[in-house]
Amino acid sequence: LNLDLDPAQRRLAETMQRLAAAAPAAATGWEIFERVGATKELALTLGLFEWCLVFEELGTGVRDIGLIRTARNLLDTSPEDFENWLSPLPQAEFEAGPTTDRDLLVCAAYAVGIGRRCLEIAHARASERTIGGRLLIELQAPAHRLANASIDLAVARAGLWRLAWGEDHSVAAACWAPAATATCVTAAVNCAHEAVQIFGAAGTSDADVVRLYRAAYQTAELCGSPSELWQAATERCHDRGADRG
Amino acid sequence: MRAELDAEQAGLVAEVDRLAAGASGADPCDIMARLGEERLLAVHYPVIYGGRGMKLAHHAAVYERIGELGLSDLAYLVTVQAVGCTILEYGTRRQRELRLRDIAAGRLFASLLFSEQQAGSDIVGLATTAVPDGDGWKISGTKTWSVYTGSSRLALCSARTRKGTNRYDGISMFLLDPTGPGVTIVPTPRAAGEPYCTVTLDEVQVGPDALLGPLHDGWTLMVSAIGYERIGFDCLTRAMAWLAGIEQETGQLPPSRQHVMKGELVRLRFQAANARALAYHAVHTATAGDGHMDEIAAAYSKIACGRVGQAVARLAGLEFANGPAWVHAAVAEAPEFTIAAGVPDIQLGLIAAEFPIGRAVR
Repeated sequence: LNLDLDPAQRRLAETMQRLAAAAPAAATGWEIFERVGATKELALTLGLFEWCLVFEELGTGVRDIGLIRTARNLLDTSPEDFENWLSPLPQAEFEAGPTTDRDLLVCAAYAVGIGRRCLEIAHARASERTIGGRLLIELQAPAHRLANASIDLAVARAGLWRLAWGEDHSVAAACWAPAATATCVTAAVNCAHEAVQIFGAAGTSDADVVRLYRAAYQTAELCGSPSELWQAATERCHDRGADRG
Repeated sequence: MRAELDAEQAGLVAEVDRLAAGASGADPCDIMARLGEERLLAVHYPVIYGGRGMKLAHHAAVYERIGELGLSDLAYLVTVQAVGCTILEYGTRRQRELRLRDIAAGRLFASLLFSEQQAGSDIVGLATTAVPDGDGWKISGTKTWSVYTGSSRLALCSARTRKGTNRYDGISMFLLDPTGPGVTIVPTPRAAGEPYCTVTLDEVQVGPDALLGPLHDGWTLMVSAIGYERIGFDCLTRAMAWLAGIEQETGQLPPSRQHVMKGELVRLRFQAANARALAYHAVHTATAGDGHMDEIAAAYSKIACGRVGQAVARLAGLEFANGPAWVHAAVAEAPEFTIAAGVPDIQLGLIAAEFPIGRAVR
């Protein structure tokens, strides 16, 4: 049992990360994914776990994931249509909310990406900003707040990855998908709050911070609110016994 | 990435289960000895020292199962992992041969003598000294918050051997017999579990072969010795046992309260499973790397496991205040999850100092 990415998964995540960083701000998730190359061939080989890596990277840039979600769902429901698909699907075919547990999990991965980006910019800010002659990160209170948010995010990601891996390996644990998603959404919002606090007044005016903060809350629109997700998890999981991954 | 135990780990768990089931009703010490006979107590030790030459990740699976069965995982943790592995890594051939086989067989229990009244989590702030005495050393000082020292025949003790050029320099590690002359052990009752021991060392004489690892450079050994405790499996196994207890108690509640409790239980079960994944990942970093656990991965794990253990105990204590004895034991023990092996401030500091933040699973 471990959470190490294998070499191919690591390459995928790093490629996505590099392309997402280089892409124009307006580029959609699908456009960035296309730049990975051999789009359809690659897409057909990805497991849900790999898709979660892709969506986490898209979350770091708050990319539009409508089209890529539609495409990924098409892979699940009708892979032959996916293979014949040549042009972008019309906007009207996008599903607003998650349609399946698998869709829910990639949306949760997107939330993890937003949370991760919040932490990264907050950490960078705290590492260069001084207060009373000391770097913010050297002060215990802000440092520990960031560390706590990072732990929440790590716990959330661990849950998400366990379930995505389980989907790829026929381990029946899908009933926990709402629980994983609730945890990811909550962690993303926590990270966003910490980012705003670390930036101080700039956190409520800096365009990047404000965008991430809003995006974190929008994950509740995308995935469902944590309370309704937990309610779904309770109804579906309570009688399933201990979740051992 | 792997979200479940591998076949070897699962096989070891099954061996432990079979053995424990066959010894149902036996004294826990006897069960531990049986595990030792089957070379299950220290599967990651080399075969010549009573192990099976497996990885730390395999040992973790056995250790977790031992805790889940309600056996003495803490004694096991201190003896096999903290003391035994430090001897394995830093000991001379003679030191290994003298002790490791007995440890692996469950015949020799050991304790750690690190903490002092003014040096708890700050273990380099120690006042205990070891001064040269003939070929060997005389050790003097008072150690506190030690567990199982009263039932141990071996202790790993830190002492200052010179003033040092900095706080970390000048510390050495010694192996001593806590039943020998000059050692006084006074038990101090604590809220839960075995009492702490206050151990006074009054010019305890040890030979030259008591020195473990390099002279004046024992700091590395101290970190290594408490490293495994800084993962949190002990918190997890208790959390799982308490969750089962809460489920049982919940069945006696009126339906309206049962509904609320079911939601809480689902949350905690999920949280525990995630913390477990982080714990196994921390252990895996040792297998995948140079044999040492990534201390940052361990920091994530320790806090995540400690928190879930405390959250479960809090739920039990608040909802079943007049409940069975285990509830009170859980409430009493839970605070220690974030005290033992270092307060969380240390781990939070490690996590915050990493750039970019978030290496736990990347």
